[in-house]
Amino acid sequence: MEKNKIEKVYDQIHTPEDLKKETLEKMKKSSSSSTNSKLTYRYILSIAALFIFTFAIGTVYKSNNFLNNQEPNYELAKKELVEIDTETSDLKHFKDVEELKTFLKKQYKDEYQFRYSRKEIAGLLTNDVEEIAEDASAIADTAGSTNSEGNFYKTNNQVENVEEADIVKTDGKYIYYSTNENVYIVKAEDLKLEATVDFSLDENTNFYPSEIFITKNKLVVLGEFTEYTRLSDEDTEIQPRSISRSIGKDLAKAYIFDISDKQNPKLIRQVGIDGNYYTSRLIDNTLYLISSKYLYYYPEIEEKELLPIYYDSINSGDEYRNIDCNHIIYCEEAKAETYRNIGAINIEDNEKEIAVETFLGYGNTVYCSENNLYITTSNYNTGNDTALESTEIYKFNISNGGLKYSCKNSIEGILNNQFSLDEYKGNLRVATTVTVKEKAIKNSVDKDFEIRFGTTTTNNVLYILDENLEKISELTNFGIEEKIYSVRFIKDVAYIVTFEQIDPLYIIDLSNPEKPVIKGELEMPGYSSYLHPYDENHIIGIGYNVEDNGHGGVYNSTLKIAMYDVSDLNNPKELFKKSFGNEYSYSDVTYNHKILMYDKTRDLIGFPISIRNEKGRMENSIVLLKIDLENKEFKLHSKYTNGDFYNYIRKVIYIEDEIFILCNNEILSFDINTLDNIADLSLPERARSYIIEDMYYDFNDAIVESDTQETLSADTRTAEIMSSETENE
Amino acid sequence: MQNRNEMIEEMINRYSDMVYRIALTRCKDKESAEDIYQTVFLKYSEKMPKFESEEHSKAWFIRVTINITKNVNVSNWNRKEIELDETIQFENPKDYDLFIDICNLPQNYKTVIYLMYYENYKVKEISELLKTSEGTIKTWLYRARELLKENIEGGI
Repeated sequence: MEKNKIEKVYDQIHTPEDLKKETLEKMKKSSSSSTNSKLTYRYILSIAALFIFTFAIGTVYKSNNFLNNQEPNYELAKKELVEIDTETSDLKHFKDVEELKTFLKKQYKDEYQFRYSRKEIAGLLTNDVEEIAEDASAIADTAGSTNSEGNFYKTNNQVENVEEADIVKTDGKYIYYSTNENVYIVKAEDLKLEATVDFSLDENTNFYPSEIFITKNKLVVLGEFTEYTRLSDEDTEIQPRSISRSIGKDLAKAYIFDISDKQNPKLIRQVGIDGNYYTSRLIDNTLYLISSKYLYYYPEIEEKELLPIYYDSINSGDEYRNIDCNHIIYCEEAKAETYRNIGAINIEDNEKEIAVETFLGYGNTVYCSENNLYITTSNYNTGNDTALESTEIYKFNISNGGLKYSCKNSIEGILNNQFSLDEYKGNLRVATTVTVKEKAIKNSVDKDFEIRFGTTTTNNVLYILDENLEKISELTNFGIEEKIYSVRFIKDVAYIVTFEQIDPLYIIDLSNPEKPVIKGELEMPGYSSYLHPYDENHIIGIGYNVEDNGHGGVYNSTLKIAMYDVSDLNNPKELFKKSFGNEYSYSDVTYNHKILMYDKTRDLIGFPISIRNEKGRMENSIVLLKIDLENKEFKLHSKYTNGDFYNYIRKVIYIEDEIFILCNNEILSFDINTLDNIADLSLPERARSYIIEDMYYDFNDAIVESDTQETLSADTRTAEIMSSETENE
Repeated sequence: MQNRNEMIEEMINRYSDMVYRIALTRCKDKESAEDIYQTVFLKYSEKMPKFESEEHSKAWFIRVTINITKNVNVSNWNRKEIELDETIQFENPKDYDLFIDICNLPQNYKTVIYLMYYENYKVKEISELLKTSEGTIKTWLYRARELLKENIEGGI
């Protein structure tokens, strides 16, 4: 429906004929500048899309070594990076590159036949929106850890003492904010911009910061780094034009700064692991950086392209290293599409090199306790199993800043998000939604038909696994025909919201891990997609009210926040709730727990919402709600609205008696009691170099103007820090 | 082997509307969109990049258009809406409303919406085109769809 409408709209937009004509004439007149330029450089455009596209049309790649001259020297890491106990697991390590290749080749063949049907399944089973919401949800939180030294905003971490990266952090005096592709250090008191950490590197490299951590005197900036490889003339001469020349490198990178001097943050270390930045955790001084690297396998691929790379400035100097293939874990059944790389970095110890661990498989949920890191991968089954999806859980021991693979297991169903996992007293509790094929269809002869048209039913399961991920018990048959929308484990109790038409909140007693029991059930319209523990007896749920859409389904009507009394596990109650806006209002907090601000001392909760106003335009606001248990209400403390879509409000934080509204390009501070505006700060934009734009023009046969050539040789891996004075624009 | 002028004509015929649509959507301003349109095609005729496939050339035009529009200071036209005239006409006022709604989305959201729903790119391909992770694309899509929902569902 949406699609047709959007198509219809754009089908009616055409280039004005005059414009086209005029442009065409100009184009014909303009001379190709390649003939005038003295030197031509060829850029490799690292767009992976090309790779796939070319693949799809069946172009045969020839193995080529054009990268040899320009690439940093590769060196296989000889050092034992991670110790792995091969005896105890059904996972294997590749002995050598040949074995890895053989494995991938087989998969490649299997996949080739398999891919189509799998796509079909995925398309049939999941409603688009749900799928997106699910993936986008890296929801979280748990009672925010309380540090001493004053009362200020802390990231809403899922697990106490396990810090999650955030777009903003504060130490009570300074605000560190990642926006606009920069990181800004701002003095909270008067919103004075102390420094802009600018990551515009040079024409061949780029870094997009996304999230940050701070410690006492360190700032860690995480994000995606890209390096485009440029070929020398000699290389390009010997290569036929038709060969796609290279893929740029994508690395999930962490830049570590010393911020003892706020005005001059000093880059002291940078580390990177292959692929796109996925998520991270900080436990004590150890940073766990997780990336995913799509595996572009093709039969002629070269060894160094095949193995994931990593980089650590303290040791590698200017070199990328390959992760040795006998440190790559895989299991036969898993579909190998992606490398999931985990790097462990001690940010206070500049002697100790990054430790890297890799496994093959498509990972999507990361849960981290103080001692263990769990990564799950989901598989779609095509065989005769009744369950369509299964989830593999990989467990890594990370106690004392280490990183060691410990075990894995497979369970039925898929996870909602990181809150679907919880470690307590050595056991892992997992809640999954299982989609099952109907029996009648299962026995059908025509398998293809079965996959396409088989009806399915869903069920939810709660597993309790021991420290070796062996199953202790499982609880099934709750929320039949419904999907899990949110989960929260609090000590011996699991709170699970399932949803189809109406929202039951199940309360499950886990005090006997051998025998989990459903204690209470509460049905009310709508659903919560995030559950936040308020105190021992209360839980806050944030989600949507729903209304019947008249076609047998429901749609989200208004945002809601509700307080549940769970003091009596058998008899949970909804104490009070508040709804916002109208239909089609939404809030990021419903799928990203890190958006939530919670001030325990004032009982104040804050998050952004978007509401469509009477004029039909979307309005961005921050709402602050006072939780009043006595009068049983969420009392609107204040609301800040910004009609400017381009200065999108991202978040609200607080420090002592001030609240800070963080917009895309602006920070504003207010007195929390009087709501008087204290200060405003416009954030300078990223100093853009010509390169960022030019890079994309110069796809294959790019020509660089001669006056810019000097800069091309600049060291590509040095982050430049600009203080606010030198910042332009 | 095609000569230069033939190639130019082929490209402008093939991608004219696409470039114009992206430029118009991203700038929300007809004059700027026309400027950008010319810049993109002139870039092409200056560089004459060799493409390996149709997908390759399409990706090139999309990226160049997006990158050039990045430099345009969109916020100046924040409040301005594209007006109907002889070059932009819609059969149904609702189509116009939807178009304005799409244009009023944040830059990334509307780009993703266009690529997904009009050009039929997959999330993965969009993430590669825009050099952004799939998760981010999905988030943008999700939010964009949430923002557009009223108009779309209301018209059923």
